[in-house]
Amino acid sequence: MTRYLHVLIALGIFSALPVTATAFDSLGQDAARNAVAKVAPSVVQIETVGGNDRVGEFAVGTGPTTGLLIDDEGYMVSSSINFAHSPSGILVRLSDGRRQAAHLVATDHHRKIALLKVDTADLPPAPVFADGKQVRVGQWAIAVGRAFDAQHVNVAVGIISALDRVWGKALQTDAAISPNNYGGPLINLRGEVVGLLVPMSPASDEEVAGVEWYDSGIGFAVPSDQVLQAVNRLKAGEDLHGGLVGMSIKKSIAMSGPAIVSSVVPNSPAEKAGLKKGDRIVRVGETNIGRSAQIKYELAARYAGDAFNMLVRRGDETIHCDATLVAKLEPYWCPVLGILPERQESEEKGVLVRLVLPESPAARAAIVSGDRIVSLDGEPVADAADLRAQIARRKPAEKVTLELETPAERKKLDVQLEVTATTLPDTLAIPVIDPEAKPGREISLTLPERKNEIKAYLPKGYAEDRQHGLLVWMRSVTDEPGKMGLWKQHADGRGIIVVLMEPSSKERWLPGDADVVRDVLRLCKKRYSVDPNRLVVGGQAGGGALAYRTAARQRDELSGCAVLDARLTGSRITDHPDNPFRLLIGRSDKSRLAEGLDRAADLLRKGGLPVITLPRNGAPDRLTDQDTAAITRWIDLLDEI
Amino acid sequence: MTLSRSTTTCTIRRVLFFLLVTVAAVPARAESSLNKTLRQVQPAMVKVYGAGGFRGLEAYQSGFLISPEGHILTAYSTVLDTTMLHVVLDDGRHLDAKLLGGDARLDIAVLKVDAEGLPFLDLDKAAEAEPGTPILALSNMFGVAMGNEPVTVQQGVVSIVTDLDARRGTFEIPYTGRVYILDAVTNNPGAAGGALITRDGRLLAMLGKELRNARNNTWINYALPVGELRPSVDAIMAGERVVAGIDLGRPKAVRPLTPRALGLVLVPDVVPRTPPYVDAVLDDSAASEAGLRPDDLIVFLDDALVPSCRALYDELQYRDHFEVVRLTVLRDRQLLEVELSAEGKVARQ
Repeated sequence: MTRYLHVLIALGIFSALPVTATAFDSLGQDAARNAVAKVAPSVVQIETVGGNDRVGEFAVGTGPTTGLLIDDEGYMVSSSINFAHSPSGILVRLSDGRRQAAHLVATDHHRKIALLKVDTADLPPAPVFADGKQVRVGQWAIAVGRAFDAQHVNVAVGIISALDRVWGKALQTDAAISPNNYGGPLINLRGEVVGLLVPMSPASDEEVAGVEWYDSGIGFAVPSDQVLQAVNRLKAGEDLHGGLVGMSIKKSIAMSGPAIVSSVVPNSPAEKAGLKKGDRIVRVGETNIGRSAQIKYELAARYAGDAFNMLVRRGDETIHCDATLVAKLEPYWCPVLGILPERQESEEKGVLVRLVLPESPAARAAIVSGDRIVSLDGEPVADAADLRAQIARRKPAEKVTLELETPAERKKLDVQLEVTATTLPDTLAIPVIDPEAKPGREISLTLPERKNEIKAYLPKGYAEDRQHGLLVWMRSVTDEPGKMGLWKQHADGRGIIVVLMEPSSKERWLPGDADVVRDVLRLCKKRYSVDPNRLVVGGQAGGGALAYRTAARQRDELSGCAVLDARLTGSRITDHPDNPFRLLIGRSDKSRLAEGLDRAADLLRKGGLPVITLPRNGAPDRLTDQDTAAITRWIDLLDEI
Repeated sequence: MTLSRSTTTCTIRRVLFFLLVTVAAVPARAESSLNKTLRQVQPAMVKVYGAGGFRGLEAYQSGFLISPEGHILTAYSTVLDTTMLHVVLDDGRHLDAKLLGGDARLDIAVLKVDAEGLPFLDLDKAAEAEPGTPILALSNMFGVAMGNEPVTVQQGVVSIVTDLDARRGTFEIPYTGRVYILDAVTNNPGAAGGALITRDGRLLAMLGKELRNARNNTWINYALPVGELRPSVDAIMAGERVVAGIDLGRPKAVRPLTPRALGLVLVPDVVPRTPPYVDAVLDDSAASEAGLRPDDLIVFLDDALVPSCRALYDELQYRDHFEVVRLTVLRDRQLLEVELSAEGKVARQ
C-alpha cells in the first residue's frame, strides 16, 4: 500500500506543476505591483528652470525627470545628467503632490549622482535599501520613474543582467532605462532599492556618456551601498570626481601581461609616490596584480582624493609606494632661461653660455654670451645636462637665483623662468667654421632587408670627438627626390647630419616605412657621433604624417619632430622633464590642412608641448631653401636651457 | 497486506494508465495559457498593404478585424493613401480593402473587406490596463510576416497610463488624450494598427505610430486604449467618413497678458533658456502690491512650468488681459505663490 501511496503523492506533485506555471503570472504581477507601490512614495518628480539648452552635442530635454528621497532630512538623489545644464531653479514634486524648491548640494561626477535637498518637514517615507550582497544576476528588477505624470510612476521591467559593470561602479539591467527613469530607483520584487538609475558608459566619463544606449536593453544603476557612501561624502558640499594616477602601463595582448609602468606623468600622484618607468606593480591595496588589466579594475572606481598603496618590484628590490589620486593631471610645461650652452665638453664646472635667445628671461637679466653659470639657487652646477635637468623640474614663472662668472666679475642674478618662445627667431648665429675643416660628404646607407634608398650627408667639419644634430627626413612623394642640395649649406653651418629617406613604394609612404625610420635612427646613433639633445625626425606632407606617427611611437629616443603641411594623426605627444620634446609645424596658407594644423597645434600646446608654428610660402608639397634654413635653425635650438 | 497476483497486476496497470494520462495531460495544461490566448487572437490579425515603399514611409502596417463582416481597425496613415489597398488575413487570404473612414486626431481608420464569418476581436469585451499590467503586442512590425504566417508577438508591461502632454511641440500628433505607454519596443515600422492584449486574450488598445517625445528626445512606445477610440470607430461604422474630432487647439487670447501689464520687467531674453528672473518691479502695479521683488525667479504660471523667459511670454499669449493668474516664484530657496491681475490690481497672496 505504501508503494502506491508514494506513486499517488508523486502524481499529485506532478499534476500541480502546470497550475503553478499559470498561477505565477498573477502572483508575479501582484508582487511587482506591491513592490512598486512600496517605493513610489519616495519617488519624486523634478523640474528645472533656466540653464543651458545644450550640453556638448546633446540637446537638453525640457521634460520632468525623476529623483529619490533617501532620508527624513530632505535629502534626495537623482542622476547628475538631469542637472548637467546648470539650471537656475530646481522644483520638486513630492508623491503627495506638494511642490518644493530644491537646491543642488553636490555632484558625484564619477558615479553620476546628484545630491539635492529640500527644506521641509513632514516628508513621505524614505525607501528601504536592499542588501547589496543579496543581489543576484537573473533577479527581477523594476525601474521606476516619475517623468510623465506627477501623480503616477512609470515602470519598466527586466532582470539584473550583470554585477560590477563599468569598472565596478554599476549593476546592469535589461529593463528599459532612459530619460524617463534616470534618477529613479531600480527595485527588487520586495520593493527595496538595489540601485540608482543613471546613464553610464565604460568608455567615457563625460556627463552625457551612455545616454545613446537608452532603451537598448543595456542599462546601469549605481548599487545602493555605493550611492549611500557617495551621499555621505557629498553632504559636505564638495563635488566628487574620478581619481587619476598619472601613469601608463605597458600594453600587451588583452592586457594580460605584467603591469609594467611605461611612463609617469610629471608632478602626478604616480611620480610623487616614487614610481619610475620600468617598475612592475605587484600589489594594489589588498589585491595581488598578476595581469596589467587588473590595475584599471583596482583604480577606476576610486575618487580623486582617495589614497591607496602599491608594492612594486624594481630590479631586486620591492618598494612600497603611497599615492593619493587627483581629479586632473596638470600638463607639464617646461620652463627655460633662454640660453644655448656651449657644446664642447670642458674640464671647467658650470655652463658656458654660447648664445642668449632674444627676448628670453636670460636676455632680460642681461646675461650675455661668454658668461658662465656656476650655481643655481646656491647649489653648484656641474654641467649643461645638470642645469637643464634642474631647470626642467621648476615651474614657469618661478624665480631662480643664478651665480655667474663673467670675464669681468662674479655676480648673482634673479631670473624669472618662462616657457620657451612660440615663434622661431629669424636668425640664429652660426659658429665660424674652420675653412680647413674636412668637407661635407654624401654617403649611401644600406639597411639589411630594406629596399628604401637612404642618403646621409655628413656636414663639413664632422668629427668623432664632437656631437652633431641628426635629422631623418621624409619628403613629400610628389616632390622631386634628391634635394640634398637644399640642406647642405645649413647642415654645414649648424653641424647637423641630414639623412634623406625614400619611401619603399613610389606612390606613397607606407606604415612599414616607420620601421625603416627606426632602423635608420639606430644605425646612425651607432655609427656617427650624435647629440642626444638634437635628434629629430621630420617630413613633408605624407612623409611628415609618417614622421609624426613615428615620433609618437619612439618619443623617448627623440628630441623633436619637424613637419611641413602634414596631417597629424596618432597619439598626442607631451613634454617631460627627463625627456624633453619639441614640435615644429610648418604651415602654408595654400594647404587644405592649414586650419586643422592650427587646431592641432593649439591642442598640443594646451597639453604642455612646446610647439612652434612656422608660416611658409612654398607649395604644400615642395621643399624650399627657406624650409631647410628654418628647420635647421630650429634644430640648433633644441638644446636650449 | 497481500493481494492476489492478478489483482495486483490489475491495480498496477490501472495506476500506470492513470500516470500516463496525467503525464500526457501535463504538457496540454502548460500549453493552455499563452498558446490558448494566441490561438484565439492571431486569427483576427491582419496585414495591411498600401501606398509607400520609399524612404521613411513603409507600404505596410498592421490591423485587426473588429466585426465578422470584415471591419478592420488600423492606424490612419499614409499607407492608406491609395485606391489599391489590400489586406492579408491570418489564413493567407488576400482581400481588397476599402477605407470606410478615419479620425485624423486619433490617427485611427476603419477598413472594410468583403467577407463573412471572420474571426474578430470584440470591442465590447475590451479591458482596461494599469501600470504593471503584463501585455502582449501583436503586429507585423518590419513586415516580417507574409501570407499565412502569424504576426509578431512581443511581451512586456504597461509602463504608465497617462495623457499625452498637451503642451505645444511635445508630440507631433494632435491627440493629447489618454494612452498606455508601453514597456515593450513597439515603436517600429509597420507596427501601427497592431493589437495590444492582456495575457489572457482581452483586447486593451491599438498600437500607435512611431512617435518621439520632444521633451526628453526619446522614442516612446504607446497604444490607444479602446475606450478612447470607441466613439470614433462607432461613428465611422455608422457612416461618417471623416470624423472631425474635438479641436483641441487652444485659442490665443484676444488681448494677451504681458509681464509689463502685471508690473514685471524680466531680465533680457538673450539665450535660448534665459531663466525668467524679475529684473524690476514697476511701482504701483499688481506685482508690487503682491510683494514681488527683483531677482525673484518665476517658475510656474498657474500650473505650467515656465523654464525660460520665452516659455513665459508664450504661455501668457493664452491668458487674456482680464484674467487672474497665479505666479509661483523662487526666492531664497523658498516658493512663494501670488495671484495677480492686470486690471484692478487684485493681489491676493
